[in-house]
Amino acid sequence: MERKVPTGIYGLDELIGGGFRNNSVNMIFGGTGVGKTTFSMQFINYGLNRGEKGIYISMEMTEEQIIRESKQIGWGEIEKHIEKGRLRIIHTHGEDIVILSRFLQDIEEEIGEEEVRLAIDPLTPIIYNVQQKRHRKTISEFFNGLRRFGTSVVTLEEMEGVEMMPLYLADSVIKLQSLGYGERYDRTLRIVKYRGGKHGEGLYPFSIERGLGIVVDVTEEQINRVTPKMKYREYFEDAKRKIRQVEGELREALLNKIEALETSWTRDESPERVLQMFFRTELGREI
Amino acid sequence: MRTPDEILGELAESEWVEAAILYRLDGEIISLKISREGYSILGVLHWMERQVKHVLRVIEMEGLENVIYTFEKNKVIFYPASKSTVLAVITEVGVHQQLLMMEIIKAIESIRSYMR
Amino acid sequence: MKCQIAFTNKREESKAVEDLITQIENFNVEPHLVMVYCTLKYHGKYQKILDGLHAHFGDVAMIGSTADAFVSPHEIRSDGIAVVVCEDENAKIETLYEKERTAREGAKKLAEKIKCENGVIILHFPPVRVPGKIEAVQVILRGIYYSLRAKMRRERAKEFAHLLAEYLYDVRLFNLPQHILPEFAERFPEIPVAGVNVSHAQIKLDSPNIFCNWKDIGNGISALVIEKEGIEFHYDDIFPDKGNTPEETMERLRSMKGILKEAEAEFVDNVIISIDGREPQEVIKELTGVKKPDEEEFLGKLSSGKFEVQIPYTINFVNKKTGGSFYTGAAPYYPFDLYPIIFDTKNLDNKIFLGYEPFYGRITDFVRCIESLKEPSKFDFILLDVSSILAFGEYAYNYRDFIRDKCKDNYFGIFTAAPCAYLPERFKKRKYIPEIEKNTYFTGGGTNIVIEI
Repeated sequence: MERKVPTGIYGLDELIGGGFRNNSVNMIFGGTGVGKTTFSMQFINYGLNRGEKGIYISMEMTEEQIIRESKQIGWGEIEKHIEKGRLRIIHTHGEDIVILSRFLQDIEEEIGEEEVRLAIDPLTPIIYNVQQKRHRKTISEFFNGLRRFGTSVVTLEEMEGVEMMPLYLADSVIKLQSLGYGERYDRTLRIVKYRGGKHGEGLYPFSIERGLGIVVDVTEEQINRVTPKMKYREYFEDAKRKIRQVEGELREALLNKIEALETSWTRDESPERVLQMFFRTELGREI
Repeated sequence: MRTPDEILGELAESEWVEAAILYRLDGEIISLKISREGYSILGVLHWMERQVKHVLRVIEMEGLENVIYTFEKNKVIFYPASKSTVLAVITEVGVHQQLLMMEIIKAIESIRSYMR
Repeated sequence: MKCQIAFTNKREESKAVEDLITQIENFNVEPHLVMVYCTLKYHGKYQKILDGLHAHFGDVAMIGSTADAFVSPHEIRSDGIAVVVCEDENAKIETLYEKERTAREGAKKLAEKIKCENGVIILHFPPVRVPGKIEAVQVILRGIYYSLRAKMRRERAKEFAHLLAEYLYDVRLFNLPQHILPEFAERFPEIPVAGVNVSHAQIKLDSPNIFCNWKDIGNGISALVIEKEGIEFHYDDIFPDKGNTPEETMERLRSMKGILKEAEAEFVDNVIISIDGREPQEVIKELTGVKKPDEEEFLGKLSSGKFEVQIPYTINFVNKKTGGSFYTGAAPYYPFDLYPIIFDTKNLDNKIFLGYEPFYGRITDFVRCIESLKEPSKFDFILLDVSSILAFGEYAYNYRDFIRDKCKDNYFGIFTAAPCAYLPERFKKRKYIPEIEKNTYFTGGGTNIVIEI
């Protein structure tokens, strides 16, 4: 099973199978004031409190501002993490980052060998600076670099003229929205994309609570929809037994497929029909 | 307090309701429940996917109490449920609208109290 | 009487019963009486539902029927099953039914079985019972046949209309309140009688249905008899008082909003033969703009359950004996020319009044009976006219709050066709206009009853 990195966002991990994928780039995008910075800080802080290391690259706020904001929410321990060297806050300006590969080197120097939680908040000014022509390739290389360092949360502002290309290249995309009607579904979170696994497809209301940060309002029913149904295990075991009788290289490939299907079987119905189809297609017959 | 999924789930149990969808005003679907017998409504759902943002915009701008679209076999009733949400109910043509309205109002009350 | 209400709208009957029982298990009332009301979505499944509930309750007295909607402290619902569990150690409660060949015989036998010295009798019966498809075809054929005969032999039209009426009584298409209530009034002159006219906004074949003692008795008559001191019975309607004479009542009708036209009608039993010398449906077409349906269309609508019977046009009659006035809907109901109605026309004046929207501006009058409540702590059983929902749409939902304010938390009400009543003198608060027989009240809409138990 792939290792997951808990996000620290209350209610979110249950919707994405336990957290972000390890060594992934995760985009949080949305309008101004919607909670992107809180998300990033919460993600980093969760790891810090569990002995992990974190790098916070801020394109807007200074270290002092970040400390003040964190304390405001109720995360006073952040100063201790800085003192002990577990958290490094880098305040820079997007305009100063002309060459992304150089920027990656700078980050690497800060990190060293250890895997970290990394946040870039926001990515928007960097995107402005990247040359249009080689846009996709440059960002793709940048993200690959980030993946080497650990698991990242990268925020992107949703506004006119902002390039949305990073969304296509990220491993997961979470959209935060705030409409301003003063109702429960004003602030919402939607998991737009989550590579390599099932995720909740709903629109989830969230609130920002002092002490906690972002709390996603998820119901049992919504969690149930993305939870693998272990009660159908015997069907998968039976299928695996049948596959083991298959000769040659195909056997392993088929076993892999069934295992993947089993871990992502979130439907509350028997997989019997799908498995029959699987055998018909793969082996030309039902078993 | 009941969630939108539970509220719409109950509404979709009604014999007249083929589907119930709760939209946020920007067109995002908050909850959707299709009754088991409702496969005939796929065409209507497709139409809604294309048109709903426009319909919601008009409801909001004009402050409409409700909007009804009648198709060959189905009817769609849009009913503002709260400040930021609109409930859409797909029914068969010919159902008793006033009686159905009692069920819709009940659902809307629950949605309002949840949204507060 | 203390009551608790379980409600479900689950489509599948087994799940519905399961849901109800789960709720009932948490009740803290001892069941002395169980009332079960279902909307038409459970058509064909009523007995299974009753069996499921019976297994839970055992042989407790039980009454109920199909209904269009219910009102309870928290909501008005128009889709589902409501189970009202009632406890009253001080009351003697009995539920009985009869399924005789004609409504009159059934009512007579039922009245003979009842013993009640002080209390209330609540009857449930369908004033119009649509039979199954084969029987419905037979009714149509008879209707067409007698209509044709009446048309061809104009001088014998009354005779053919009478034969049609007899046939319709025999197949029990009609259970006229006028035939039923007097049987009870005669036997229990001091006991108020409420008649739940079980009928629906949209009718379908083989409906409505009456339930009694855990049986779906279909087209039967049931009685809930509650003997207890201090039961209050409040009947009211949306109309002004009747006049002192039939002529005075006619004058009042003329001054009422919505009366469009006067006409002369010819009728016998419960069948209108002609209006102003023309076929009734022709006149109705002129009034409503809708022509009479052909047989296929008629049966199709009945089969699909989308035959709407509640319409805003009315034919108003005046009773020469009581001075009362009442109406029936004017709509192209039948695919034949003779026009059966829900009243026996004996004692009716031939002058009739065609009208439109008798409810206009009277939304609160539909629950006027509630104004008379005496003790909010008692259980209030409320019978309301479903036309109020049909006429006022979503505004009718306000009844819930109005009733809750007056009745507090201990009440339950059903919406069906306008209820009828027999009122001993002491229960009469004014000179109600729909007096169809002496002290007996029934009309096509606008009546309402609340019983404080």
